[in-house]
Amino acid sequence: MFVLPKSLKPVKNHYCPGCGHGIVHRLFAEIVDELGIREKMIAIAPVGCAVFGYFYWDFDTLEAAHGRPPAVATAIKRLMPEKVVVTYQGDGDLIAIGGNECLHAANRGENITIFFLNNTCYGMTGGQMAPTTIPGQKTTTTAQGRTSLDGNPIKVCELISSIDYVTYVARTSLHSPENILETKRAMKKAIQNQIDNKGFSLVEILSMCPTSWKMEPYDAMKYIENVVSKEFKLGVYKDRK
Amino acid sequence: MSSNRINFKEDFCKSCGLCIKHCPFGVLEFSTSFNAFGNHYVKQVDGKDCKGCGRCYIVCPDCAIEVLHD
Repeated sequence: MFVLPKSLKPVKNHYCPGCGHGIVHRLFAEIVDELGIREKMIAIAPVGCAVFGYFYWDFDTLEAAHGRPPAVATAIKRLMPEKVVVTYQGDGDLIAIGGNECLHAANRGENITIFFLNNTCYGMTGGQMAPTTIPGQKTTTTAQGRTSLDGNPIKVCELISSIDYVTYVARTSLHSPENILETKRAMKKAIQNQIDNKGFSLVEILSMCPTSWKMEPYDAMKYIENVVSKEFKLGVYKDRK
Repeated sequence: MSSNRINFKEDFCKSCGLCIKHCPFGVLEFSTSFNAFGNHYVKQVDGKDCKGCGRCYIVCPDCAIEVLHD
């Protein structure tokens, strides 16, 4: 049976056709149902396309200032250690304006979970260059493609996995049903780590943004497979026992 | 007669077509009609049986498809 999870409200979402957010929202809700943690769950929505996460998840969700979900999650988890605290962030939120919060939460080894959706651009504001934009990619602020003057993409998994206190770091993708199921396994493990008090877990999910990439939804999936996942290598970067 | 049933939430569909591309059996197609938001929603091809693999459910970004094994 493939039935929508109870933790997902039965409403139409606001995302563009073919956007990966809808898929990850559903996976998140499925995991919450499967682990039976709906009453203990506190999710933190980012600023960005997923800013309305609380319209779709049927569990406690709050909104943090741009880039600050790891700081807010730290406070909630320290004050209420029995809760399961998960932040859901995009690339602009996590590694541009929120790079500091994410790095230091990881460095303190906070017992929280971060889901990081990487679509290589600022989707909500019209597809501007993000820290994760890949070299040569055309965006509204890099009309000739990203050059070395604009820097190189920040590899969040490689960066975070180099920190001693981090427990689990993995990068997955949404470019096929098999990879979507792999993403769900990684997300579930990241939440289970928190329940087992193992520490900081981060899952980076390569997602498609057909509107900003100016592609058909299926072509955007192929673009992840053929281009984006070559720049951002998939795999488990750290799994501390 | 197939024992699998696809439950479409027609108004949720945004015509992205990912389910149609990922269905290994060609069971899905766009309707010629529109839903309330002006999109050609997805429907089952007349006379084709669903095998119940659920790939359409897995890739649908709009949660517009459920597959029920009766």
